[in-house]
Amino acid sequence: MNAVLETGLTWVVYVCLGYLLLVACLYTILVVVSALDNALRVRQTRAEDFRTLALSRFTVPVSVVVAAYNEEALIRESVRSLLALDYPEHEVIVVNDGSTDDTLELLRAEFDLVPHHPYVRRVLATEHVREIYRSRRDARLVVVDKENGGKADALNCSINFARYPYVCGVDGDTLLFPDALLRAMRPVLHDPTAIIGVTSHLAISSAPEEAMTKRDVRGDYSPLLAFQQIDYLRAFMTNRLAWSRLNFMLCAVGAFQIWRRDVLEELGGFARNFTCEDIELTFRAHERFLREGREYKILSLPHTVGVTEGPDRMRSLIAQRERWQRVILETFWAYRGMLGRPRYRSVGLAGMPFYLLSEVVAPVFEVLSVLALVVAAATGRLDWAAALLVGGVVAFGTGLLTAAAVLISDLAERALPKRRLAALVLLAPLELVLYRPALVWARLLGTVRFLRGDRQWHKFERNSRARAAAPPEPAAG
Amino acid sequence: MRGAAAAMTTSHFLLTLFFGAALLAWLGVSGYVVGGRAAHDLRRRRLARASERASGRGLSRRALRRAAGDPSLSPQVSLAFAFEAAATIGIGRLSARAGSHRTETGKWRRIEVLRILALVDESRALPQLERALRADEDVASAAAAILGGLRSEGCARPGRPHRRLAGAGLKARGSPRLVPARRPAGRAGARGRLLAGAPLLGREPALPLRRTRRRPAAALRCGSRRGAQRPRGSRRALGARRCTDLGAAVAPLLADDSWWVRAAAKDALASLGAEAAAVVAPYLNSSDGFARNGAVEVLERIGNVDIVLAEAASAPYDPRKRNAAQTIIDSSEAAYHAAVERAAPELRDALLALAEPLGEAA
Repeated sequence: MNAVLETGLTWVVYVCLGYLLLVACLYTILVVVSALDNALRVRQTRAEDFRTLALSRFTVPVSVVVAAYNEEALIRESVRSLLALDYPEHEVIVVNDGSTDDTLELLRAEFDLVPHHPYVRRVLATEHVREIYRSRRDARLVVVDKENGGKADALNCSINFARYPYVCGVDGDTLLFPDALLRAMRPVLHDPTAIIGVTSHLAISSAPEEAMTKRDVRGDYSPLLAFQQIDYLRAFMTNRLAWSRLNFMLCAVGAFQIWRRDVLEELGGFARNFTCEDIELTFRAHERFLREGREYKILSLPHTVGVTEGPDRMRSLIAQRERWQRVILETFWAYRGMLGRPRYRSVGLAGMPFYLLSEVVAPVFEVLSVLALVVAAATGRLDWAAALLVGGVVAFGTGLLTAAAVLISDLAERALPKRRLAALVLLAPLELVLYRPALVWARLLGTVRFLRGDRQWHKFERNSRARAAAPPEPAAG
Repeated sequence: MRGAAAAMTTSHFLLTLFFGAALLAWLGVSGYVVGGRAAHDLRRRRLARASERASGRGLSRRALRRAAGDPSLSPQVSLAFAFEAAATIGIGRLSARAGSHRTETGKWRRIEVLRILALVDESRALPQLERALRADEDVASAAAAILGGLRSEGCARPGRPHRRLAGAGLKARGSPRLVPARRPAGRAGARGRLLAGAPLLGREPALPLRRTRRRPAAALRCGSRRGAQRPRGSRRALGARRCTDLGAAVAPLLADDSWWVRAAAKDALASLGAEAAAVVAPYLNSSDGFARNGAVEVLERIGNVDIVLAEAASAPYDPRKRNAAQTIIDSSEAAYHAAVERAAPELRDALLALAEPLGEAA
């Protein structure tokens, strides 16, 4: 029995170490590609005359759409930030997805909404629209009130109302910086025929409205938010930039995603039968375009385009990450046919295998290694020195990856102050002990719920914030 | 047991090695992050001070070049930095760098240098810009934008700092003086001689208008920036710095394959103002749809739709004028109706008749 246990433990340790090494190699490649991509984009951005671009009449107009469900905490600030975008031509469409709170009332009062009856192209089927409003303060704002149908349904509804060739989906809890659209649309303007989708980095804060007032992307000083900031930086700066350069951008984030409208319509809009709509749409776009052999690009950019709300409580964080894991598994399962197929080029041959290793099976190895550690310690077989050394390698390896992400982000924008940079890189090795266990738990929970067929959103509770309303500022324009 | 101990030692040694490597790498990159940022902050403070006093003294050659080619800086500061960069780096070297690029990094440097050259020495910049119009789309669009921003006294844009004043300012501060490639022309006068880098007021004879006007038609046949031919005659043909000449160089890009280059060309032509209309109008009869639509958009932007329509209304049987008007109507009915609204009452019927088939109009 003892021999079997020892052999089993030895195998588990070797398999987990092999997995770790493989993933570390893959991330190293991604970091190098990201750094090169970032260096080129920094030069492009430096040479770009954004002042002329902001005044140009020849930019492609954009419909900015927001799906709002119970977003009373931030909806006014969010819409204000969208109307204040420095872009030659854009409209803002907010779809109130049957909110049960005061979202619609707040919008009505703030933007002086009046009923409006425009011609609507019903390209995508959605739940019943109750009323359409237009702002008397700013004619670019249209608010659609409809029955609750989920985020995907609300976004599809907004596509029906969109007039412009590109649609920018923004979450109700995300606030954009004035130059967000200009920076994100710049590559699109270079090649609108090929670029069908764009996403960009977002800063994270427990109170985005406060961060926006000072254009402060430092993030909060609470460790939980700092770790999330690290997570975001790694996800965007070392993953997505490389994915984008290698033509397998696997997820345009829902908080800020720009899509060509004709592509959205051709794909049938956002899918309602998935827990989250963003990653599924990205996979669907890849699948369709590669199957049909059409040239296209989906890009991720290093610019920080705005601030989104991050959960400031561990429980909310676990709920959010559990949902993310579930949607990754749902999407991967739905598009498993692309895995390893040369027809799907880099998506099938590199992107899907990477996702499989780094996201789909990661919880298995994480749980396995924790179990092996516990069993070895309980049976007195644990070599503490070796375990600590492995832990140290993982901790500083993660720290190295984070430091690389922070470096790429800093080279791209120089947005974070020196002290914040130092805090982030110093905090990074502690992630393994202080933050990662929560993520492992969330991923495990997500995997279990996926296997049980759970499709609920499980929206996390909003951060507590002082609701003492500051006097509302007039809308831009 | 001994073997096991040896194996343990080896694995511990390897793990220690990995640990040490990870720790050192983390320390190294983290140090670079913080140290690199500290150095950048220092450079930024220097640049801010230099911008405040509009003098690049104290900046490194590279920082000066970058600052001078940075389109986000205010025009006054860019101009001051550009003169100093030219004095530090040398006009000849800048000119050589503006001529071509080999690498992706070199491409963006070339754009920076083109901007600097355009600020300090138009006569040298124009041939390079003209060559850049035939380069890849990033360089071509940047060159179009730079050409769109160029002005002579004849078509000066309000608010643009005058080079002579900037040059005078530099001289007063004792900045290194540029030795102009050519002395300012006599017409520049005493004030003009103060200019460091005065060759933009060079003596090249104006490009004969006849040749300028013929050029778009030739370019139309080519239909792309690669096909855009350099005007026959002098290599410095564009040095004449008339808006029509600048426009003639940019206008073929209206038919470019790249949307971005077309947009940059439209912006550039629109910023040249009314004088670009003469260059753009022939494109209303182009066989290329992009060129036709682009021409309409530019004319609409500079307010010349009214003139083209009025000319067509006054000569309804002139096929070129009629086609030009028809292109406007097809491309933008809103622009057409707005022009009809703006027109004098006695002209409105004739303008409305343009939308009808020729027989009915007659």
